[in-house]
Amino acid sequence: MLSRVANNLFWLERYFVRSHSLLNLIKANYMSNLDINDISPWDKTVLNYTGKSIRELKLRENDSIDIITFLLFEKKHPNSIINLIEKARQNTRSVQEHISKEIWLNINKYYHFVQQKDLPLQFIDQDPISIIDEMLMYNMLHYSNADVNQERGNAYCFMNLGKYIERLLQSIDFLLLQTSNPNSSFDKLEEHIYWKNLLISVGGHQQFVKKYKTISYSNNIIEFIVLNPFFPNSIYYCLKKISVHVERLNKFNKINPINNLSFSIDQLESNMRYTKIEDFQNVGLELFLDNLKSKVNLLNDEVNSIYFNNI
Amino acid sequence: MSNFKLNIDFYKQYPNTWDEMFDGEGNIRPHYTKFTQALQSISLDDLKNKVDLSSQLFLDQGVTFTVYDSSKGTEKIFPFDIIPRIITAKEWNTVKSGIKQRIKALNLFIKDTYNDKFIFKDGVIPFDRILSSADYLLHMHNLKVPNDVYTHIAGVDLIRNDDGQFYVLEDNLRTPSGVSYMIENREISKRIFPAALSSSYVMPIANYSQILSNKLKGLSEKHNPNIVLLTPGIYNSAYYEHTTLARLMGVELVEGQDLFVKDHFVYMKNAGGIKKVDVIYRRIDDAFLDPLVFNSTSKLGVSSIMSAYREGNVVIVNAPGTGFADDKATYTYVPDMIKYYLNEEPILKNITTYKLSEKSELDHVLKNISSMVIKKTDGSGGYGMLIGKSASDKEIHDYTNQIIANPKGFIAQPTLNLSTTPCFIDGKLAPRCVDFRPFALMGADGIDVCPGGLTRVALKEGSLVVNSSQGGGSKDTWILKK
Repeated sequence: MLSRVANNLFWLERYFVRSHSLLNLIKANYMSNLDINDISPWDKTVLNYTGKSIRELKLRENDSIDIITFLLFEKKHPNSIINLIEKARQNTRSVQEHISKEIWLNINKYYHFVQQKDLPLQFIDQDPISIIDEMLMYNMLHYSNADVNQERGNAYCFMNLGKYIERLLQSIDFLLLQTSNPNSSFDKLEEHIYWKNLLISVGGHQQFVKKYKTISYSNNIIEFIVLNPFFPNSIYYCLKKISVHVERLNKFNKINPINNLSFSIDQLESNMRYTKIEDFQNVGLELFLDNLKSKVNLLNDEVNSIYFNNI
Repeated sequence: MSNFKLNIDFYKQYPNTWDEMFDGEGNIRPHYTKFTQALQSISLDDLKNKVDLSSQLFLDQGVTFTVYDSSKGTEKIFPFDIIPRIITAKEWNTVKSGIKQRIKALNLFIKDTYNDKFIFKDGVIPFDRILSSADYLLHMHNLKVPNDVYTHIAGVDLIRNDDGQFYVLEDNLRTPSGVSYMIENREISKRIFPAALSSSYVMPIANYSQILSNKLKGLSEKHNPNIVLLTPGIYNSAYYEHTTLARLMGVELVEGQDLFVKDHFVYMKNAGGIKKVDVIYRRIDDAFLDPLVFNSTSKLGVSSIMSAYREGNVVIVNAPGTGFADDKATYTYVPDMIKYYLNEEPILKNITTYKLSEKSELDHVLKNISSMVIKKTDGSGGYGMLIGKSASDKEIHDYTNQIIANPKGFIAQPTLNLSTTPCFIDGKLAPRCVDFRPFALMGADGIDVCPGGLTRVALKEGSLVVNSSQGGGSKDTWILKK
């Protein structure tokens, strides 16, 4: 498979996961706004996705609809949904002979859906959740199509590599968003809602409640998102999946399995396997997550050099 | 709800024009009977819904082309008219034989031009005509190409004149496009007229990609050659076609940046390392193929690819340098080529064409300019031509000055009455002018002509210009089995 094609497949999934995470986060923030009438979670979300504050972007601070409209439809903002889907579709167009037709059809429809000129107006006039849910449906269809129709070859592995690296980074960022809040605790109802919000936005609320029966302990949530081997968005789970797909890619492309990428992944996975919640409490969660993020970024560089820029 | 009614009273046929569905008395031609029966069993509202459905299907499938305006490229669908154009088996046999004959002669002509030059030595065609063509490539001199095939893929533009006969308007021997629309149009017909399609016994076109794939494989001596399709990239207006063909043939779609040449071999940059390329079906023009040989600013091609080609280490399809054989100046000589190389009479006729380099023909054309269509010999896409009957005095004056400055650069043809076919416009049938581009594939095992083609239609009332860039659309073409 061409390096350019592999790179496009990898980024196709990264854009998709990023859009999925953003939509979930917007939905969770909006719902928590309605619960506690506090728009402060938007600050961190906007900062995380744009690198700028709400004020710098001249958005109306107390108007969640204005902020959501920006996050969904602003063409000048590279991580808006409209831009992420446009980029995902552009990547898909250039790799059509490697993916199932259903994947292309769904992404193409998604693109035309978000490009509708009157969609932002509909969004303002109607319940925003119904439009966000419609967008999320396209994301879910994409994952289903990839699961049901995509051949388990090179393309599938590059897509999954992108998917799990982006998921991993999103989970780290979500945790950092919450932990950077100096008032984080469970003493207040508001804080309880923030943590619940975090779980919903990473799609783990139901699974968490089933396992822990309560939402009262932030340590449980952190342990769940970082270390749980069965939660598909947990950092450990993503690392395991990355390891599987790198191993397959080495085999498919006849790459010596003793290489920097495989070594880095195995090392990270092993570290995580023998990490307990107390370990990152000792270091401090924020520092632990920052270190982890640096390592994942290095891993991403290794992916680039071994598969995409290898000549 | 009432069904759609075919009412000839409201169908205003163009004067002196062959209509594909109705004869001169307004009767439905026999080969349209089954289709019109099916059409009249559908309600008007359903027909309108089918128009919407077809547009939606094109958009959903991503069958779009990009139009660039001042700010940004916008995607549009190529307008599609739901009423198919139907051609009888007998007519098709003539068209098929005529195209095979023509492509065979043109291929021999290209080979002869780059090698022995017999046709010039025998005085059939003046060599200076060829030398003056920018598409004639010195790099192809005395080069042996696999199986002596230069024109692997050809699209021949035909029109039906008021006498009911098909005539050749143009040969396309470089990188003819439109085949994906032929394929997609049929897919849409399957959705909107399933009963009519099956009851009419229409010849299938679905195996085009398989035949193309086999022809490309046959060009290499390897058992399982590495074939790629070279595209200019996603911003090219025919990108959809490139992806469709690559997908249907199961070959890699590559851009220039994905390939490189080392020691006169072409390689592709793969995730697992490099891989040798054996056959390149290129969809970029000669000028952009190799920046070291042709346009040095080209970023679409591959440096040194011509050296690999000349060494015989890679096959390029179509062969570089075929363009001089399909320009409008060479067109006038194709009947002579057929007689010279094949000793046969042309099955498909050319349209009467005046070479403006000849003084007497130039005088005749200038005297009768209002009944002429004048084209640049190197023009395409319907641009840069003058349609005498609709041009203003100033346009005629300016164009005449251009002709007088360089008469060799122009040819003229009498204004033709392109045949019309009914189109579903504003809830009723209205006649619109059409042309027809069937596709021929040439390989070691001979020439195959796909039983179908792209019917382009001038959707503006009275217009003769069928090009998509100027208000044209397309419709499915049904070739009947019997």
